[in-house]
Amino acid sequence: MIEKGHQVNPMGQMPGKSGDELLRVTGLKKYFPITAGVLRRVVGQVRAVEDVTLSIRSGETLALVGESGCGKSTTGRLLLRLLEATSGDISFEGKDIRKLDRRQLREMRREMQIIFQDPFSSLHPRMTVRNLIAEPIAFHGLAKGRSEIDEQVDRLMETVGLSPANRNRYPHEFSGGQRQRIGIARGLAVRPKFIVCDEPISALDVSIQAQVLNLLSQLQRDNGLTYLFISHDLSVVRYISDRVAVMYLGSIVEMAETAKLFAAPRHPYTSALLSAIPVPDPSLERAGRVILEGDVPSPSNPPPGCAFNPRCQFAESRCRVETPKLRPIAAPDGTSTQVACHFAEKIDLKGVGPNVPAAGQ
Amino acid sequence: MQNGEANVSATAQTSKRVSLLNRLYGLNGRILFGGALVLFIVILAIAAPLLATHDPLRVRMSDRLLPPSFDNWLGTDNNGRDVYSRIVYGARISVLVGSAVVILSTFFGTLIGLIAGYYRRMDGPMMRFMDAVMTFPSILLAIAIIAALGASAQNVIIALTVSFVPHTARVVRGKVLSVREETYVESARAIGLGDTRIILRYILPNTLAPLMVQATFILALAIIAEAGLSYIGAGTPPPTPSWGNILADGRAFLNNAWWMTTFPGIFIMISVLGLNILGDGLRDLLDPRMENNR
Repeated sequence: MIEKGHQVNPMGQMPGKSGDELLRVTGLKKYFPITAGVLRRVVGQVRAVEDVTLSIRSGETLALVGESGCGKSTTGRLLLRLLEATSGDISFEGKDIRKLDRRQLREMRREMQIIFQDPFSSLHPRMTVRNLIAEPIAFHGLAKGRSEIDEQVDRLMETVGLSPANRNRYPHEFSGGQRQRIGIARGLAVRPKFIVCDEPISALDVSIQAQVLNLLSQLQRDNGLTYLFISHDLSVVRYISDRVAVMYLGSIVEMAETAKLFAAPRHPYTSALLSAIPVPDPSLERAGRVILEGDVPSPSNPPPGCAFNPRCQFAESRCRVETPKLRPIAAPDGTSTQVACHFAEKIDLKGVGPNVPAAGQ
Repeated sequence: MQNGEANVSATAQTSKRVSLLNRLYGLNGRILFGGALVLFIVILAIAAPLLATHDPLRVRMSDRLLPPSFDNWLGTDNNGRDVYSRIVYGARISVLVGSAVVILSTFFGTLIGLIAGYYRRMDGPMMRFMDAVMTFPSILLAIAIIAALGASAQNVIIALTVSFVPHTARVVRGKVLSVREETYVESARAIGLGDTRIILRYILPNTLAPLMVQATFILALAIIAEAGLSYIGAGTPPPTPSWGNILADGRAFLNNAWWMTTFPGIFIMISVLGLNILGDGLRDLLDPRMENNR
């Protein structure tokens, strides 16, 4: 618990179940120019994020998965305006993030925070833990006077499982897991509603991953936080997220509730990702694994049509011409998932059973 | 977890003490030696009136070109002036010009480097201009400026500052370029900090270590350049003693008065050597990563 006035969830709902829509992203694009020559002529564009549309409900965890370079971290940074989007709308509680001026943006920083992947580079090496955590509190005027700030710093350190006695230490005196806890405390210090977790555990030792993951879940329960959880580790995603969005080459190819996505993927890429989850039991070697051929195409020169078509075993001529839109399709149980595939209804894909482990379980 | 943290806290306490000791060992080496040489020159400059045995300007033609003796420790020059006293007073010019050039070029160079490195739009125009200044050899540039302004200590300072600013600006800009991409700078932005705060609190502290090192080298270069300018008559105008013009006076008597050139040369060497050793030591001390490896 960070603050008494900071209630769990205004409606008393269980976090993770559908709350109100907190964040809506429509047609988000980010192109990085490729320049050449002394005059920095633009000779091409890296389409890092190509038309991402998604919405996140208050209190839920939406996982964004995909292989490296698919644009998931870029998407997270676009939402916080750490990068400026090329086009698209980002609406947070009805406010258009992309139209905020400098002062409004500073206010918005209190609502949205980020936890970085690498705890070794995300903390200023010359600042003590106390100063690292106190900085956002002091900057946003969330406490008056030194003693009040120190009090909050101590409370935050306890919240994330650090001993306040260590407040005057420097980051290099801590282990990776402890550093990540410092980063989490710094993010929590402004009491945000929404946190982008940018691969928060992938730089940590496996033995520490579960601890930090559990801390994140605990904080979400206690503070009613909403997470965008960026990861490439599907077993982690399965454990922590309510819904999953799968990205491929800058676009979302499938978005569904976690259990549904794992049990019954509707996009060939999702199915290929799932079949790549390692199973720690050789006797359970699965039949019919999908092994993808080739590499991810360059985002500066994406293939025409569906971005996945060169590697898709179901691709037909239509896929090489027409880009599939993300569209809702009905699942057998009546609910719908969103898939960007022309043949989602026709093809039969394999999911993973419950014997594939999820982290932390 | 709790146990582990307790352990960490115990070892960190001792490691703090150990690292302080290590720092002193580091100081004992190059920093103390280099610092002592530099301090020696600075004391010479400050206490010149106390240390000098003669009036550096008093001409006594009967005593001209005397070799080092008990009365004139480092001999006398062609005008019968005491070389030792002239060198002691000459240290004042070297230290004055050197420190003024360091302070001014560090200030302007840091300003330009921070702006060029942080605001990418300013980078091209500002650094290309710096490059243009840098293409002139600093002595030539200084001679040109002094030719326009006239020879005086003040103009030497201006000329040398202009020629050293680009070096400092480059060092700072390079550091800024690497630091601004660090995730912790992004985290500062995520918190909402403005550019000024990010530059002052996150970026400037990281440039201090290379700046300190750079400052010691600029000080050394400025002392050499001042001596060089005085030697060719573009620096401190005679009769005011400066290491450069003492050397220049001695040039004509190289064959029969070796002390006129040797001793100012030795003093130039001592100060430059001391500064370079100090700079090397500082560089190692100020790099926080070195601390862990030691």
